[in-house]
Amino acid sequence: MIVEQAVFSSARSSQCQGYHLVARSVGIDEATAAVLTRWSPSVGGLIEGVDESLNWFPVNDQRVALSRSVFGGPEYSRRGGLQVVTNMIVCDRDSLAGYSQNPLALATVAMRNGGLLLQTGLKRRLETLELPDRTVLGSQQLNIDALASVNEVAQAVRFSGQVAVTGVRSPMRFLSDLSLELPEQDARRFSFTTGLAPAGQRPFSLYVYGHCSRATLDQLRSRKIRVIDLHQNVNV
Amino acid sequence: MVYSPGDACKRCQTPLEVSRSIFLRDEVSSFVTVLGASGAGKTVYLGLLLDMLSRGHGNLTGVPNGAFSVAVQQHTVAALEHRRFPEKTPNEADQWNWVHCETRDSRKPKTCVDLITPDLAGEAIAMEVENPGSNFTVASCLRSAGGIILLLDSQRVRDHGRGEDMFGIKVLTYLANIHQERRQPAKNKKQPPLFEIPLAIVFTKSDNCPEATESPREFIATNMPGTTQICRQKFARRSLFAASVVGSTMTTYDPTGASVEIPLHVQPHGIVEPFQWVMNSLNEK
Repeated sequence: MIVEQAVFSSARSSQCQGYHLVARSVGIDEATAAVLTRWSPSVGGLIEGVDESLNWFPVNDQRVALSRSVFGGPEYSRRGGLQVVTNMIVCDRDSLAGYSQNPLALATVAMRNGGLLLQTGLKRRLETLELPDRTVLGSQQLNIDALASVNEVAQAVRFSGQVAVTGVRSPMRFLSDLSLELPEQDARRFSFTTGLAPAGQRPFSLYVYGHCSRATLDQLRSRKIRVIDLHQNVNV
Repeated sequence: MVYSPGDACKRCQTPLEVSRSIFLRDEVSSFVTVLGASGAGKTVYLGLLLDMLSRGHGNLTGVPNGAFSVAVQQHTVAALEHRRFPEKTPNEADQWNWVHCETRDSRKPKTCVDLITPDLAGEAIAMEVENPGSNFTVASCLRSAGGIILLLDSQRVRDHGRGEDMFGIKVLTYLANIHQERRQPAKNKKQPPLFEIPLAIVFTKSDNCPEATESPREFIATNMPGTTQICRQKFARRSLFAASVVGSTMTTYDPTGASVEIPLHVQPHGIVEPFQWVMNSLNEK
């Protein structure tokens, strides 16, 4: 399958400066670009203690986006700090059938094929990325040990709106298990992040964090996001 | 209505405390908004403006409304005291610091001008200007503004005039479009009606650009001809200023190896004058 690519970061060009979509492939139209911009983090977008985040969100009824946010080079404007670089792929929902509707499997295959990776010497116009139509990585058995936690979170996502899960040992494995539990109609509007801070313009249905600082917890609570702490097995 | 001090409008992110204080005050309110591209110096300008108004400057005194209004001032002054510039403002609207400063002129004590503005991210302004309606917070701030202070990085204007001119044209065209109803009647049939909204254009970082300080009028005419033309054609009340915050800067490197510009000493120049001019223009109405 062919997926579109885009990169969101901080740069200065003749047309724009600051955080914006610095590169995209030909299939990213203006409407899609606006959605990708809205869901991408700027300075301070990664939570404390995290230097990488995998994110999944709907673009429209037909397409979804998978993005990976990491720290890049120094902020160009000489105000200190590192820029946050977000590499994205955009694909049709229907093409996920070959990945068992598992975004984590898609992420693994994409990175093995050069997608979602931090690059240097970016050109403004990116090539599309060709990925296998199907993969065995999505075909897995549910981790029985985590079944209770996954079930609880799946129910919370279905009925509580936005949910944050903290104290997760392996966010990727947890999300992979969750994708097996969510009914298809819920999976269509499901979105997650493993490391972006909550923000009004990015209403993820699920935040999956390993360690969560007090400041991040306060942010979650202020937005009335339900927090489930797996470390202590409590609702915070 | 019961609300918490930290509550904000879910649509435009304006703190409810701002709306409440305006509503309860039995006076006509005029809002002044500060905007500019990313890196133009909005955070530093706003922070120092508030600091100077709160201490009293000439005839002007400003009183911040609410603890949230002090954040920008506190953050900027603390950064400059530690010989650094504030960090970049995030794009996310709910991360912006809002400022509400009630300012009075001792010569007209019954009139109050509200400096109400979020410390906007330049990228959000650029996005709204390119795609009107895409950022409700920016759009509602600019639509409500009675006066505008537009910051332009004088060094970028001098070194990359074309790009800055395009930005100026886009912003002024956008402002003219959203303030259609504020045009004053044309003086004759050959002249199109002009907008009444006071517009102060401020060339920031002029410590490194003496030509902007010597003659802002010549500076803009030379480097931003398109913006100059739109100003003349559309805005009846306009004025040009040059401002700087630091006397000199130097470049150093942080632990990651990134080059960082640091202020060597704070020497404000031309900070309050643009706001004072806007305030006088509003009081003349």
